[in-house]
Amino acid sequence: MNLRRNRRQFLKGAAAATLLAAPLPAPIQAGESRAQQENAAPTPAEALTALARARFGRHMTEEQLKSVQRGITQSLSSADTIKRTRLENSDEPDFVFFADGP
Amino acid sequence: MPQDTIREDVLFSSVRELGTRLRQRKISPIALTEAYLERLQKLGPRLNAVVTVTRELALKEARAADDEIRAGKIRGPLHGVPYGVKDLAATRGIPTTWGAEPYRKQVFDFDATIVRKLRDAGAILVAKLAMVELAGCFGYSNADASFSGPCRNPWNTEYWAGGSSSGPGAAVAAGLVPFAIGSETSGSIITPAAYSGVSGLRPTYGRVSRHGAMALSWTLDKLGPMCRTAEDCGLVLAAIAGRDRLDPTSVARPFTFPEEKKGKFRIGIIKNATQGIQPQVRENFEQSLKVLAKFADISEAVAFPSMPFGPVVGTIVNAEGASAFRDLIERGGMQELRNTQLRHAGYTASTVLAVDYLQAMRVRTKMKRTLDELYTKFDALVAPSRGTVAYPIDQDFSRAYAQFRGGPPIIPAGNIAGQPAVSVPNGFGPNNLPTGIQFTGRAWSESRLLAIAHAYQQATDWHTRRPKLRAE
Repeated sequence: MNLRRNRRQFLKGAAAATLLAAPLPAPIQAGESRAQQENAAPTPAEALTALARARFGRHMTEEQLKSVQRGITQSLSSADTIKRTRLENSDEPDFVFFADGP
Repeated sequence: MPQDTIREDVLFSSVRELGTRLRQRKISPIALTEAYLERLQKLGPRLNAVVTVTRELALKEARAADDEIRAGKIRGPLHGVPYGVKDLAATRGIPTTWGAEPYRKQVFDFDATIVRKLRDAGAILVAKLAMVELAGCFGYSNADASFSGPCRNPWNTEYWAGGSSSGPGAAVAAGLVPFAIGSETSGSIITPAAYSGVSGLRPTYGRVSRHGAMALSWTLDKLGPMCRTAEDCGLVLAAIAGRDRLDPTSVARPFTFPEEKKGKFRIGIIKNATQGIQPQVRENFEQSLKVLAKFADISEAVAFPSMPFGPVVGTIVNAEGASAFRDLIERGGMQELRNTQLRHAGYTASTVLAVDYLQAMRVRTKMKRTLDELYTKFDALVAPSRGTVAYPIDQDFSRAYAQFRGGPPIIPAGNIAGQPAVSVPNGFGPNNLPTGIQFTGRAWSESRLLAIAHAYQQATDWHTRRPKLRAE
């Protein structure tokens, strides 16, 4: 993904791919400007699906892209479940780095 | 040496029995190897259990074993005993396909450490055995998940042999090999052992070198034996265990088998282990407990920690697997896989955030500590190996047995903690399909687990049953 793309382009691209859970912006509500609408943050699942599309879209069918989005939603839900386990700052991941000297 | 015609009974013997006959020169390694090769050729295709029959190599190794045994040079209990290896272990000059179309023509110029060690022990490689493509990596939806086709269960060929070590499970059950090597990241030895009615050992992480084996998840992958008996698993583990400088996670930790007797076994029954599982699986488990009570102190209703084992193992496999197969994923090679879910699951896995992976690995540390504390009080905690019998070949996993999703997440928990487990057959359920009981224990407690499973098998005969199979 081109990181220089601005947010507007990013959302536009993702929506065009009909990939997002709510791929098209909702109708503009009374009192809400188009700019506000375009600045609405995508959900994490939408954002990651757009990333998957940008990186691998050429290898996938529309149907597969929808499955990828379902999978991403599921894996984010797993991440949320994991986050509920309380950790202290001192709780290290279960691998250790060693600086092997000469 | 008598070059007898090998009867089918002999082919269903344990490694222990075969070794004895070979050393006593009642059968020759050559005749035995030829008999297994013939059976592999005849029945392997019917089960989709075999990828490559290594005839030429096998006969060469058999002749060498024959010469040595004749000369009285005995390498150990596996000398002259044929075996098969899951097709994810590298074998010099012979295809190693990882069960997947994109790697169908892959050939390595070296042997995996496990293959080398078994050769050093005098075992004879007769086949590379079928497996779920890429060991199932990011999740597959049904049994049709290997370029060699869905591996069929020898007890009922309309059903699956289990995965991802499908070929090892089916081949041992069908008497195509007396033992096999499988691998487990999370469930891939215990599941096919239970479904196919064989004895399977998932060793402690680090017990067996994985050098030369396909990597799916560096912090979870293990290699282990699948045999007719728990005792055989011990014999094979003794040959393959140990430190290997080519696998930095392997550990020089003594493994003695059989273990010295250490008093009465302390066994705990995991609370709710039979809740929401198939009734016949539950009945068989309850019968097994009666057998165990004859020689062990039993503690009932041992509470299993409530922690997110499933999400943690899923996050780790996705993150590490997406990295291990990044080339394949990025070049679109996943689309060549057989299973429709696997074709795109790698793209999902590639979006796991680094922070979520690290969070999972931090929680893993806690889980390991919690489980070790629990297991300190027992030699083994027991539960049904799986909540159901094997899945039908022609149905998605999500549809079959949808009403039986119960039981604590013992398989992911044990894999997260790197703990060993042994599954042995304990009866039959619907459609003449085997069921299993699993013995799980602290890290490095394989000797103890195998001693318990062996004692169970001394008191039962499920491991001696044979499927009725005929070549078509």
